[in-house]
Amino acid sequence: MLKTAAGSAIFRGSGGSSSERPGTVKPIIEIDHVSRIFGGKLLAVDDVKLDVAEGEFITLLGPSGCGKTTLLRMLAGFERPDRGAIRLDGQDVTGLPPYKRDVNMVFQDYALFPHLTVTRNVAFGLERLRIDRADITRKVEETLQLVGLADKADRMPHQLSGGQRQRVALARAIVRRPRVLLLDEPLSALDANLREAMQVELKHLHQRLGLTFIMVTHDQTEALVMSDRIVVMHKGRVAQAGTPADLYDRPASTYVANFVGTSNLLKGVVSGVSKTAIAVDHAGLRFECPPLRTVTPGQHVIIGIRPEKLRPLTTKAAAAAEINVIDCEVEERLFHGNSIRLRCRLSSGEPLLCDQQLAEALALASAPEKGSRIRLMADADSITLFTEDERA
Amino acid sequence: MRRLRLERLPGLAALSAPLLWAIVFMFIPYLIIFTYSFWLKKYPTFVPAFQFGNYGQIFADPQYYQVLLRTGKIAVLVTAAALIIAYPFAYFLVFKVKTARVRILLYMAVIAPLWVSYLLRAYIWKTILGNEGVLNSFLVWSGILPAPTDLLLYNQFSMIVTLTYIFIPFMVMPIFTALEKIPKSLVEAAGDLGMTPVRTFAKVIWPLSLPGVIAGATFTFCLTFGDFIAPVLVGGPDGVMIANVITSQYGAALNWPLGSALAVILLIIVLAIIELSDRVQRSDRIGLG
Repeated sequence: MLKTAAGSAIFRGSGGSSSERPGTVKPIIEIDHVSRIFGGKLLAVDDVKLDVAEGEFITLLGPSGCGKTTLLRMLAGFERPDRGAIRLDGQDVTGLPPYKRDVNMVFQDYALFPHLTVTRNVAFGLERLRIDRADITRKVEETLQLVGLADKADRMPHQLSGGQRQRVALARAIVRRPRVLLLDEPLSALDANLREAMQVELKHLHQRLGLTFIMVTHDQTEALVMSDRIVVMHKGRVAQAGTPADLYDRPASTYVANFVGTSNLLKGVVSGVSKTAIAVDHAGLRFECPPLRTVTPGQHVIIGIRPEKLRPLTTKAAAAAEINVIDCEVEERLFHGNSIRLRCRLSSGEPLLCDQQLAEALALASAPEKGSRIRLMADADSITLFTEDERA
Repeated sequence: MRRLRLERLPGLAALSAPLLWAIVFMFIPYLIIFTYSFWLKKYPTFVPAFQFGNYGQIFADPQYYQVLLRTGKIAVLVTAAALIIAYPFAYFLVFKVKTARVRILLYMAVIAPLWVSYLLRAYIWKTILGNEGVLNSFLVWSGILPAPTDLLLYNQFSMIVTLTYIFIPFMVMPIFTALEKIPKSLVEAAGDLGMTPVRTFAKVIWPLSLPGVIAGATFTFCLTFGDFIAPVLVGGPDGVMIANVITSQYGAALNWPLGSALAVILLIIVLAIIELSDRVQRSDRIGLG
């Protein structure tokens, strides 16, 4: 829950720079209708089609078992697709073993060689590249400098902390300057503070190196903070791919709306369709949202509203408003430090979450009390319409 | 002080039985043998003394030190043969067999003979390698040999085959354990970093399995070095090993002092090997964490 608030705050800040869609550039990786079937029946990856642009930071996001790791392992060459093809820079690498692919992976458990020093771990991948000793030494030193481990060069992996091992794993993968860097839940083994610092560091590293990063994570905050583009996966399929802002503001399904951030989802019936708006009724409440989907009057739909898009109406304005207004009772107040979350209930019995930023000094004191009845309003633009419920 | 002792009492009590066992049945017998090794043979028995004549005899008389050298040679060959067979087998089990059930089944197939009497297992090879044994019958039947050969049994070859068969579980077990402990992600990482499977083996799997290899080699070497049944059952005149000589000194030859001196040397060699392997293990101890 807390993650939602943090995630939304950050995505607003970085909306502009990452919003241009790839596709104009030639893709470095083409995943062409790839499927992977385990044990003859379990469809781990189901007909995924995805292009990754050169230099992009793309994240495969989803709960465990959604196929994201299997997809990444197919890119690395550890698994072979049962159907479809994978192309790296135009070349078909579908059947190529890992050691013949110009991609490198940062493993979730780091997979450092326990019998080799930090230096030799990092140099490991250079030994086969036919470059002379002096060059290897220089590259290793540079890379260790880059990840801030120059002073740990002669240590053995078991003498390092978790965060330091993580950096060695990273250095070992980037020292080869692969066409694509694959990261399998790279930060999941770190504690919360370190994880946040590494998120930023990885992002900077991506910008500095200009390499293509493909990361797998189940952490939506991580995905929102770091990625140029997020691919949300669900049951082996791509549920939605887009920029973090796209995904957050215009989720394609209730599944995405609920997995990326939190959403209030209310069942309703379409009561009117016009050129400018779609009107939906929910238990006597009337909502109007932009006409982004084709629906017919009488159709059962679901509307989604982010908790932080709801704002309480002052009494005077409250009387006048009729559309996109929700009456509810505050059941609980949850203090989150920078914001407060109101757990409310509609007269229809539906629960509703409302987040309020505590930017001003007296905001907490003036927030609605538990048990009080309040009127909330949302802008039409912040209401999303879904035609079916795809929540897991 | 008193209090401390009382607190330690239950622990000491629990330890006392095995401790007593070790003292009465191991430490004291060793001490007796060690004492005997300085005694003097005086026909028809022997008398207490403190002299190094028995040890001197062992290193002066070729009859004795050559048996020691032969025993060492056979132990080395058995260890090598066991390693050559056990390592690929353990590797196959850990990295190539995909289902856990099949892996356990094949592993148990190697371990299970340990529950069969040692004597029986050694005896089996008599029936396989003997003049009218399975192998000879097959060779004659298939026309490879015109008549059964005597070359298969009662020589060092048959001893090495038998001892390798008997002690190979002790080689397979530690190697299997060492290989199984290697995270699969390390193998994948090596491939990811451009290493072919052969190079991955040389640079990652072999060095990380070395502790298992050393442990297995130590077991096999020491067990073979002290063996005295295989020479009796399948060894020929040139197959006498150090333990057989010791047995005969206590038996027919009735020279306990010399037998004790030989036993002490055998013990020292085995302890030295164990100590050495322990040091090698320690020197490149690597945390697989």
